[in-house]
Amino acid sequence: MNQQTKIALQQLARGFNDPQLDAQRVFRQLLQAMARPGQIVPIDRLPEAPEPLCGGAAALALTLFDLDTPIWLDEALCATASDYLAFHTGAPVTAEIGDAAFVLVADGRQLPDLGKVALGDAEYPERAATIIVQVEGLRIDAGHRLRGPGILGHVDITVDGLAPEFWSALQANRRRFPLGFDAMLVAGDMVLGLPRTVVVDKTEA
Amino acid sequence: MYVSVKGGERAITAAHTLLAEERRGDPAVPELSLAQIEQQMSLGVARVMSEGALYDPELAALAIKQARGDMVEAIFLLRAYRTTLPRLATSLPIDTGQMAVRRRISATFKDIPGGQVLGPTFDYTHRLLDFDLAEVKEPAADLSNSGAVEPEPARPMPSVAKILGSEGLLEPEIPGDETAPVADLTREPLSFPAERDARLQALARGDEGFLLSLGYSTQRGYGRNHPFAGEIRLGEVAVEIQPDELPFPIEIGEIEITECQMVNSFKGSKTKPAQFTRGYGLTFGHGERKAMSMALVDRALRCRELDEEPSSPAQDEEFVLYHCDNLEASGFVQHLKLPHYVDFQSELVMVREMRAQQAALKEAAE
Amino acid sequence: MSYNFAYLDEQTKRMLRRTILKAVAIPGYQVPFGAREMPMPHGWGTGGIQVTAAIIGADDTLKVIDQGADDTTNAVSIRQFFAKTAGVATTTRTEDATIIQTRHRIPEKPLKEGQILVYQVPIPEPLRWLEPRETETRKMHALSEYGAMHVRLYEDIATHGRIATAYDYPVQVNGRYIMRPSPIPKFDNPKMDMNPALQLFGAGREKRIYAVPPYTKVKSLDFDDYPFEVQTWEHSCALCGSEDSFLDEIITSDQGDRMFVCSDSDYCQDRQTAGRREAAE
Repeated sequence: MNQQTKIALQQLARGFNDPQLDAQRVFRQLLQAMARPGQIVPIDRLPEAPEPLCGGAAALALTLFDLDTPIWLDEALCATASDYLAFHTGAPVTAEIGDAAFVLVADGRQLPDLGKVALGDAEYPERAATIIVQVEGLRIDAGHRLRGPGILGHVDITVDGLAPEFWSALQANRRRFPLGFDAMLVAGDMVLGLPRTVVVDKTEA
Repeated sequence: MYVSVKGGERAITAAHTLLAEERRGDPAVPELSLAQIEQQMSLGVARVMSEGALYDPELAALAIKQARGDMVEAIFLLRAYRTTLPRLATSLPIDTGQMAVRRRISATFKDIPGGQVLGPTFDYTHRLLDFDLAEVKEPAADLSNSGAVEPEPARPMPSVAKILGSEGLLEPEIPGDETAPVADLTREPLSFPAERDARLQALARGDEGFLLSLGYSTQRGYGRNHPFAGEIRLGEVAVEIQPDELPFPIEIGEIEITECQMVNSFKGSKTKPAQFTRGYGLTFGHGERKAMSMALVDRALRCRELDEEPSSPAQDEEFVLYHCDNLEASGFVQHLKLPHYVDFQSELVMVREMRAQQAALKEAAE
Repeated sequence: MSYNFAYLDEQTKRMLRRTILKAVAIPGYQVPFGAREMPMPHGWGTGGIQVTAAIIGADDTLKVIDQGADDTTNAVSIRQFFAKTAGVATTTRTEDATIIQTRHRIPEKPLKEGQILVYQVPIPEPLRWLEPRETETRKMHALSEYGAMHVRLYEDIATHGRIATAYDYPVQVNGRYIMRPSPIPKFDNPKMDMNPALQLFGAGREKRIYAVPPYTKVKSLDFDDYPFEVQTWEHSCALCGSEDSFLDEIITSDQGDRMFVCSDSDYCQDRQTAGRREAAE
């Protein structure tokens, strides 16, 4: 290994303390988030991660990404997190957002064109992308009303730091069911799951 | 007074002990060694390696010993073990043209460059039980006067396919995109329509008996492929890997394989001159019957790319590929031994109700 | 030889975990996955085992049942497998389990939020008996073309005067995908609807995983004039007196004497204990 690589490795943020056990624990938290949309789930195994990648999003990435999942990173993450993700996950980075299994966005106010992400196809709807968006805050509060599988009745949530076009994109997404992307919103160490089954009722902004 | 049946755990432990005793058989009889199985049951070892999808004669011998000679059970042991092995590298495709040939025949020509080399074969034996073999001789200490046949020096052996191909008589192997990833059935499920790489993998791992019968059916009118054995060769080939850091490949070992190239009915049209078509079979170790069966079924399954109407079972891609894995077949057939009494009870309840209803209707009518 | 936690390597677990998340996002749809050879034969629960192995952790408590009972040989074998490879706590009590792996029954005791029920599935495709080809059934699901299924059920009514399916009774999930619940008796179907627990389905040999999230509509197929009905018994359980549970029929003599006993051994045991306590008071 040459000197440059040695230095670069030393500067790389560490991943999970215990990759096997931590990934299992984080996965169960993600499963809870996707099976019960509207529940804001704490991620309690947070790896070190290079800013602006937050601990929760890094935990998610280290749990789910690998050689078989092409990923798309926004500009900020491309510049700061490529080495980290390459080292810890081996996931190939693609410039084509439509080819990505996972789309990672550092700032919910600056979303890429969600119309371009993989939506699956009629015979294989699972081939759609999962979009991971970092936001400022998640809380149960009047904001957007969610209904659907996993939700008993309805749940109201408020998200800070998310561009409003995300919600119209989600509504359009629902109309395409069973096609459509699945999303996870991450605020620090909290995650909210928004599978494509979620129905977002119109709300007063 | 009925007490619900307990003791499942004890029953399982006892069953395992009994199994170990039965496997060993009469303790007064010498125990089988792995070397004996590897050396003297090499064709069984070859089958277990091929369908177990793992080249390791010693492990295959162990599997056969543990499975008490039940080959499908041995194949299962090897496959399950294989799953636990990490993947370190991907080799280059083996070059069977460079094979150190022990046996090589062709039915398409009387003689070919390199010649017809009979090698070790049952083919021309008379199937008479040889009672001399009932005697166990002591292992030979000194082999210098054994009278074994000296191997002939290696001669160049171009494949028959190349010879026919150079005249344009045989379709070239469809080159495809060499940079595209090869299907990997150990990591992804089959999806349909299946491409030839996935089909050949499934057939290579597939049950010899199933493919034998399907191949046989294509010779009897269930499909018309007019096969000729273009070439069957048995011998050792080098396995090479090419790490990123090196500009050349390095050999990491040698394996013995059997390769069969079938030459099948020609295809042509007004615009395209007629050419013979191909079928391909490959096994680990010495496995001619399997390699030939595989080549017949491979050709039958190529109906789609050769514009032939699929009309026979061997041409039915889903039928062949979904049912050729003997692990899946054996598991599902034998799972009928598991308790199914809840479902049976559900049906009993329903059948009794239906019969009672019919009886009541009949009574009312009378 | 030492194995990875829960036997599977990390890459396989990641693949399974991604598959499970997609299955949860598309309720009732069968997601193909690269099933691995396990040390048990296909047909003996390898799908359920792979799902459990992907989700289980050191904090879980595992219950394994077959035909409703914890002590049937295959349930014992699977429970031992996880005790050995994952070191997890195991239990026979439904309410103490965080993960319940089951073959052919849903426990009688209602499940709670946070619990996960993992079903072992032999044939995942509900349209398989109508159409053997995967290429065709995939299209039918894509286009919601379920007419053939309704025709088949109506043919039953014409022949037998009723829908003659007693187990593995097809359902529609979230108003979209038609799904096989696995060979549970139709008696258990109503438990799937709006269940607080997460339901995961694993078919190892057929290489499919599917899911029903908690609080999701699951409707057994029927017709307005022939509504879905569950089985009933004239008897109650000979051991605990239950009149609401699925009963096994036990032949007790050569003359065909029989008795009926709860299939769910944990449920029956609890009732027997409570009954004895009551009698003592």
